Amino acid sequence: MDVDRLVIEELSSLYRSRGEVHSLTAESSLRMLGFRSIDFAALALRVEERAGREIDFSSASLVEDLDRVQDLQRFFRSALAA
Amino acid sequence: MTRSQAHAYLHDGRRVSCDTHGPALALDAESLGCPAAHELALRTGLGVMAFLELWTRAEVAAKLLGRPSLLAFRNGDAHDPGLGIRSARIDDLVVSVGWLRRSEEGPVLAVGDGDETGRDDELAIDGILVTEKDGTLLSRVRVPELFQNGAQRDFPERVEQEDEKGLVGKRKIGRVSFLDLGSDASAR
Repeated sequence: MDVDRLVIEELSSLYRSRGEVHSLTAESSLRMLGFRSIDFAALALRVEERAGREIDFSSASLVEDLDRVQDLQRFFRSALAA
Repeated sequence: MTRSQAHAYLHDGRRVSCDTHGPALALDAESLGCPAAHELALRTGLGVMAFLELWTRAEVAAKLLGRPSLLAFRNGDAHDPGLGIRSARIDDLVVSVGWLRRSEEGPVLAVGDGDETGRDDELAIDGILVTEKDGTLLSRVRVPELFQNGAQRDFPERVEQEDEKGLVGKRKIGRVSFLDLGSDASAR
C-alpha cells in the first residue's frame, strides 16, 4: 500500500468535503491549511478505513511534530508499519 | 499565586482563553460549526454537541497528561481520577477546562470565581474570553455564571470497553465507546 499517496488522497478529500480545493504535496504546510488535532482525528479515521485496520497510536511517537504533509505521511507510514 | 493563561484556537480563527491564578490549567474549545466535528460525530454515531463535549475533554486530558489527543480520546483519559475537568457551552462553542488534582487522596481543587483567596487548593478562573483573530473581544463569561447557573451538567462518566455487538449500526472511532449520554447531550 502506498501510504504517502493514501494520505494525500484522504487529506485532499477531507478538504474537498468542506468545499476547499488544495493542490497538496508533501511540502504543503499544515499550518497554512489550518490543520488542527481534530482534523488529524478525522484524517486518521479515513486512513484506518482505507488501510482496513485500526492504528495503534501508542506505538507511533511522531504525532507531536507535525508541520508539513510529509510529516503526516511519515507518521502514518510508521503507525501502519507497527 | 502564579498567574497563567490557557487558550485554544477554533477552526475559524477565533481564540478562546482564560486567565487563572493558582495551578495551571488546560483549555480546549470547538465550535459547533467545525467541519471535522460533523464528520467525526457522524462516524461515532453521536450528535455534534455530544461529540464535542467528549472531544474537548479528551483534548484537555491530552494537554494535561502530555499525550496525543486521539490517543487520549480513545483511551478515555478524560476520566482519569487525577484530572478535574469541567465543560460548558458558550454560544456556539463547547469549552472544557481542566486541571491536575494534587493526588487522588489530596485536596480536590475547587473552581473559584477569580477572587484572590490565597488558597493553594483552589483553581481560580477569572473568566473565559472569546476573541476574534484581530483580538476584538466577542464575549467574556464569568466562571460562576458558566458553571453555577445550570450550564454545567454531569457529563458522561461511564466508559466501557469496545463491544462490537453494542456498536451495530454505528461506526466506532476507537477502542472505547461512550454510553448513556444524557438526552440533552445528543443535539444532532
